[in-house]
Amino acid sequence: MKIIGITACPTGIAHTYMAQECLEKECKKRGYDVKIETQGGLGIENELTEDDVNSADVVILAVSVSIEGEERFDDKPVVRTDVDEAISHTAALVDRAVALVKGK
Amino acid sequence: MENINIIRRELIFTKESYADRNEILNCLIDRADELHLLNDKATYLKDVLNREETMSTAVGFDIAIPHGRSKGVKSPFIAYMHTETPFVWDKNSSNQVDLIFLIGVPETNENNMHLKFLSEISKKLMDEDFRDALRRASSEDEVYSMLEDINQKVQK
Repeated sequence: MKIIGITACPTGIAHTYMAQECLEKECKKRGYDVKIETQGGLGIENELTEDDVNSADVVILAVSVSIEGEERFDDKPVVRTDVDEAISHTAALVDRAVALVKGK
Repeated sequence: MENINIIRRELIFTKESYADRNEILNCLIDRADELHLLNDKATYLKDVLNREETMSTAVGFDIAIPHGRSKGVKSPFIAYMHTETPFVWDKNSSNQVDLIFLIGVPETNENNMHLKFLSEISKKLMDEDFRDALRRASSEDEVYSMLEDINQKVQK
């Protein structure tokens, strides 16, 4: 299972990176491949490449602001939620993403 | 590389008996003002409260990270408070907190190092061991060392 995603919060100082951390930890715990791009105060970091997108099973957009490059995921199943969800209910969010893949 | 003093001992408070969000914000903001880190207290407070209204910063794990990127901030800083008892941060969520990190960032970014530090601190707060260690710290100096360690690692 490969999960990719983007996290972005209004101020771009803390929640953006906390959400990334939570998602990465949860996915690694389950033995999934994971790559989370952040769009915060430091700009775009850990940018998702074309290869990343092609090889991913599902995309998690934990974003509370509009983000750049959303068209990259036009052909992928996407779970979209607030950046808070990724921090406070990480496991449930990852469950939802996985369910989207299995439901195909 | 300019080393910005984003953590200061004077902005660290342990074993406090506060149990109200606005009182705590005012306490920390007043201290930041005394340290000449702010252009305008009222503007910064307004920005912090606006951010809370948009999305509560009590994200769970008994922590809250109120913050603002604001014209009211002159120098970037992080303030820390550990309250003796957890209390409900705001009416919008039932999340209790006893660890508060208040972050202030000037509106225009000239130096990414402090943002890097803030993102590292935020990530570390997702680590249960780190949170427990903060709570177990017996003095402001101890908390200061822990935070300064992270700052040093980021500066490398």
